Amino acid sequence: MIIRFKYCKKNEARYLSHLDMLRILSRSVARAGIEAALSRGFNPKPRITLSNPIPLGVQSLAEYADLEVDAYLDASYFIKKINACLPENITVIAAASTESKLKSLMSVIDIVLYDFILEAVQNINLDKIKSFIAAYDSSSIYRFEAEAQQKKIFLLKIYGYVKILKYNSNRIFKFNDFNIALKEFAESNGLHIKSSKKTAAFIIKQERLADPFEEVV
Amino acid sequence: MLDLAEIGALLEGIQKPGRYIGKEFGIKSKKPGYLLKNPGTVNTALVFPDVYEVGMSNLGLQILYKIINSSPRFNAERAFSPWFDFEDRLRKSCTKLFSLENRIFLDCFDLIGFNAAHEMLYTNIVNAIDLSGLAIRSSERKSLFPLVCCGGSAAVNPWPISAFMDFMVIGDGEAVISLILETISSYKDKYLSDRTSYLENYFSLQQLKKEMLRSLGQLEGVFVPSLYSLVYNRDNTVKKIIYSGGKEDKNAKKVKKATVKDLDSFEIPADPVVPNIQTVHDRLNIEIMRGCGRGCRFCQAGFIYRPLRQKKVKNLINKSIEGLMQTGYDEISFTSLSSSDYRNLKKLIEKVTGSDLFEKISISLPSLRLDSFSLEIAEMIQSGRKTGLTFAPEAGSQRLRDIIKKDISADELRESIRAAFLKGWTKVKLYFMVGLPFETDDDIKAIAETTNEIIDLARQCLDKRGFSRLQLGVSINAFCPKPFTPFQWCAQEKIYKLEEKIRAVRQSINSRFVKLHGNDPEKSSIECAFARGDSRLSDVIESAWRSGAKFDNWADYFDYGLWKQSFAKAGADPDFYTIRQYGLNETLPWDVIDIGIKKDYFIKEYSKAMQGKKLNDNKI
Repeated sequence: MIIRFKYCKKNEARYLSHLDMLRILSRSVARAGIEAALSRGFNPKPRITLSNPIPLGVQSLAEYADLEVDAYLDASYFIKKINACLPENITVIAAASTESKLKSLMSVIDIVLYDFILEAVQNINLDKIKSFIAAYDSSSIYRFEAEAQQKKIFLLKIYGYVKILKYNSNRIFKFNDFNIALKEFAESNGLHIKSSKKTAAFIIKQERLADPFEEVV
Repeated sequence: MLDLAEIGALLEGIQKPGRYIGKEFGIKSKKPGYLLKNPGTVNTALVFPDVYEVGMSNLGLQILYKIINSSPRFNAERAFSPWFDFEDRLRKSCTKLFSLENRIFLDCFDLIGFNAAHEMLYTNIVNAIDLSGLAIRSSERKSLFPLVCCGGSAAVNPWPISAFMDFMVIGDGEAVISLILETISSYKDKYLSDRTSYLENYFSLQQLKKEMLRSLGQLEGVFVPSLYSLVYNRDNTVKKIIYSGGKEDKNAKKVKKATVKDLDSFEIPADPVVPNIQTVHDRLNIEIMRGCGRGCRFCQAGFIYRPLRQKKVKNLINKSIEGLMQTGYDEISFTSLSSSDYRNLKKLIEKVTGSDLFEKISISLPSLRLDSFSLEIAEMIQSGRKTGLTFAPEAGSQRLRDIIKKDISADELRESIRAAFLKGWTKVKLYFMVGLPFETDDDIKAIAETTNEIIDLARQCLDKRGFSRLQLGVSINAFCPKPFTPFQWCAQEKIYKLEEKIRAVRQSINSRFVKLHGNDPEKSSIECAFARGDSRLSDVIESAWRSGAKFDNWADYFDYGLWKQSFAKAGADPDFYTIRQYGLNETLPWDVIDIGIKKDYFIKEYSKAMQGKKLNDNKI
């Protein structure tokens, strides 16, 4: 059976790479006494696969992973067990299990949502921010939202593509490139990027954004 | 303390930021709130003076970390050498080096303890003291704390690094660490109880520091450099060692190595800090014994870690399984200087391979002797996946192996390698040294002959497919005479000679199957100078560090030209410490240390080696 789980990596954990996370999760599963299914070969490894890598240094509230286990495992029991065995700043927040086969997370996730909080030193028109994003490589952005949270605090939500979709001449959203462009824009407009983090991942289903947990029936 | 935003800003664009963030599973340090509530806590920074990935593979660090943090009155945190890019960032932003756990600046600790695992770390130690915002020389550090100390195998000759240290620990750290911290604690209490008057009176503060160092110097294994000095003859050899720590004792008091009598009395660390990023030895390390009973004459570790102490097999089995479950590691390594000599090795391996865990983990035994018994063990741990075997004949000829007392015969070697090939191993590593005492050209030839013979054996024993996969690694290193060995007096071979010998081996080996590697003889020469150096070499270390030397153990960053200049600037001659034969009657700088073995023994062993040369002259 497969346990699909969602976890966050906050604070210092943002500096851990994709491969680091794979190793950390494998060890945490072993520490928790959870019997993972093993890969074949002379060096069997627990079968864990992760969602798309995010850039080093970016926090995430929505990382996903699939763990294969041989015996039945209750999802809430899993959450309780593994959270006691994870290093600080990494926490599993949701899990669901299924007996059916799942397509890999990397092959199904289409969209990743990044939140940027911008803080203004001087007054700035929200439209100016919107037009900056609209002018940015739009084929890599599925959609975006920009709103003023407080007087001088703005929240940007960028839904970026993480894969090239058939029949859709899109490009892949590159966080680092966007971040550099945003920084430049911010600096010349009396803004600064207060924080940025990944907050969700989606699968496009009939023009609708679906949570990766929807795959788990 | 650095907060999250500050560290975030510092880490922007830095390579492998995971080195600097801590927060691993298994951290044992006290929390900031605890430290605030208990200002009397003695805080120790344990520093391994290399990058995180190297330092976290060190077992000594984990042992001391656990012991110190198990006391409610002591706190230990870790720090490592920052890589070039991060050091640059720290210096440009005027940020001092900090510990990983609570990100406390190193100069705010009471004690900074370095691991001097080998001589090529000395510049990194000096650099770390400087990065902590402290004066590098102990004589210029006037505040009471932090004290700076080091231990580890290079410390057995304390002199070269002594100018930078308040004290040094010789021998097993776990035997004295608690006593050291108790002593520091009592002086810290004294200081805190009358802080204002100490701060107003410079003289009484210096007096207090002196007293503290003197009491530390009374502990077994503790060497306090400021209480000792070397007086030199006109020919630069040591005339005498002077001790100024007590009125009654005019003769230099020797510092007796600290020794743990019963290793089982210390809990085996089954819950080490598990790194978040990949390290050099990314596995659970379990020490099975300390010391070695073989007495190979070139091997410093074999003498300074005596006596041979074996841990109880029952404890090891329990702790291995417990450790694997607690850490989640998929590899366990049983460490010692010569694991085949551990009396219950077979039982240990049987129990661990017999446990349910075994299908998920692998076992490594880094120091097998490779006789028929060890081969059996190697088969048990490598069932199915044959990774590789390592043989260390050290010398090519039987004659020279007898001289260095490497107890393995040509027949034994041939038979075990034959057996290994027949059992399907195709990856074999061989270790040799060149520049050994009494070595002749024939001995060098014998290295290539032995290697070629092994290739022939492989051809005979392996099938076509196996033979095509044959990988023979041959490592050739320059011999470096070290203190507390029967060869401590021997001259090291000149660099160009060593290079010639390595070239000679390379040319006469059938290179199609062989990968040659080994340390740079220039590096060995600097290592030798510091291993056998005296107090004048502190100036050389400082000078080299000021010219930018660091990470000298990294082939890419070791700069021999820079070192030669630094010797010249400090007015020291490296040849005096390397290619010179030390006199048997000479006072040796390290005579200040009582390692537990009499000098007479080393002389006897040395003369036996010399006789070996005479007796076996015609035998190769």
